[in-house]
Amino acid sequence: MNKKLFLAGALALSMLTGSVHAEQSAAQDYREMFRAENFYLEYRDAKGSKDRTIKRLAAYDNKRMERANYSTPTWVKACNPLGALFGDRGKQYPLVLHKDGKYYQFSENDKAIELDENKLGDENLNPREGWNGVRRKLALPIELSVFCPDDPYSSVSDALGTPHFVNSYKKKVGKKEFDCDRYVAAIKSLSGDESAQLVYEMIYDQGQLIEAQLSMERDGIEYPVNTIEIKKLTSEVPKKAFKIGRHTSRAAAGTGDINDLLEYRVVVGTMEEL
Amino acid sequence: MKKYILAIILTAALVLNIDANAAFADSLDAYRQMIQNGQYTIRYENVMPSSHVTNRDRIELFGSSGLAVAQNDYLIDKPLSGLIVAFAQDRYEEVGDGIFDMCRLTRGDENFFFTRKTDGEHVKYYGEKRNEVRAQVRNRLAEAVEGKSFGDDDMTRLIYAMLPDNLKSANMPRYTHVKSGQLKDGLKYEDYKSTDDGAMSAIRYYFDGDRLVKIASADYREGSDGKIESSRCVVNVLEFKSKAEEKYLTLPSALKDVTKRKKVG
Repeated sequence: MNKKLFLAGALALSMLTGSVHAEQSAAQDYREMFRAENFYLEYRDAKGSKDRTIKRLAAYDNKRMERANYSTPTWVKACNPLGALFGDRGKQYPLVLHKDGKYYQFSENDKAIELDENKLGDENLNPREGWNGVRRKLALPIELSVFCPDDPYSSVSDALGTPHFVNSYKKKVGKKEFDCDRYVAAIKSLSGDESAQLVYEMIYDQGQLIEAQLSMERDGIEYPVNTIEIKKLTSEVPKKAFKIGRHTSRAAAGTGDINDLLEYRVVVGTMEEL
Repeated sequence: MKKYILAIILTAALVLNIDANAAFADSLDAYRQMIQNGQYTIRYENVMPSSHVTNRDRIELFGSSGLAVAQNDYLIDKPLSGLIVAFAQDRYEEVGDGIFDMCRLTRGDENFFFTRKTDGEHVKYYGEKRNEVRAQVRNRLAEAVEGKSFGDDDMTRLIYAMLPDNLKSANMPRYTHVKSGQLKDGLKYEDYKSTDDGAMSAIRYYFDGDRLVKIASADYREGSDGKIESSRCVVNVLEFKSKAEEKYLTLPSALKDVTKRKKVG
């Protein structure tokens, strides 16, 4: 009898432990919205980083766009307390867009240069226009690759394995304790050995992802890589996520011809809205 | 077009008398050991540096561990000289033409990037601004995935080619020893080749006695237009020793560290 009681207790404990260690249910929702290319993400590097620019990445209806929000410096807000009453209304700018087989890089709200996606590897492209970086700008941050390891815009190194879920626990961030899901991915050497491990810690507050911490473990030492703060992650894509200036001019990418040498932009048309 | 690549590879294989099962040859072992021990000084001249970074070059999400020499307009298509000093976790690298040099000092978890301009006897340093430098966080992830850099991209590739697979990243080509021999001028050589991803690369390490004095490589790959592209590289190894010249592992006295660090404790 005692043995039966012990077994029943052990079973109940293992079930309880199992539920504690399960992945957050929102993780599956995030996977689904990234897979469906239907999401809106606002994020920025966590406190302590030099660059606190809010980045906005949106995907909807076969297009993906990145925007940035350059927030007003603190000293400007201090000089203008009335403005601060209405919140920090830093200006948003469109940065990069991929739509209908073309990439667009915006220099201003209503000025863009465009390039056919099949010419992205053209070696005649003006290297100063930074076309080799457009896919990286549109890619999901590496801190979120646990939800979408095969993001079509990411350049995935052969040395990085696919992240897999390890366990879930409570983690203190600042003064509060939050739910945390831990994932790891192997960093492999050419011989196939694991030379290091990437560790992802997804921090949730009331079921919503609020922070993604990335670190690396090598030879028993943990090195912090980066932490991003998630301000918004939803499948409801706001219209403003794809807002561009009226009569946005589209100029051709520089391909080393005479216009490129004279630094003359050839405008090929306009864009009204997306 | 793959037929042509195959033909080139087979021809090269015959010329080089491929013996893929041969064990790693002797003379490079001492140099491999220095790299593995993490303590060395390397001085070199890259007499045929590769050209500017192109739009085909992949940009990783996690950044790069290199010095971005190929992105520097001034240093493009110029012979370069380089210096690499390593002592445990600390490193110093510089690449340039002696008038303008890109430098990086790595100490613990911090990187200090600065440039040095030399005009006769006058030397000027520029970091954040003239004579001031601010530390950046060392990109340990890029180092783990891409490997540490050894000066410019060519030298990095040539050094990693000599290392065993367990010390290379999984996205690096696998080189196998082909043969060793001696030239008429008395120099000994060891040949290595790689045939990953439809590209072919051959590297010859030259030795004067057991001293590594030169590295030459030839690479062939299929371009986006289907044509075979080739590149060559010759590096003169001026010095490769197991002693780290420690004077390079501190900032030059003219450069002030202006990093704001959190107080500990």
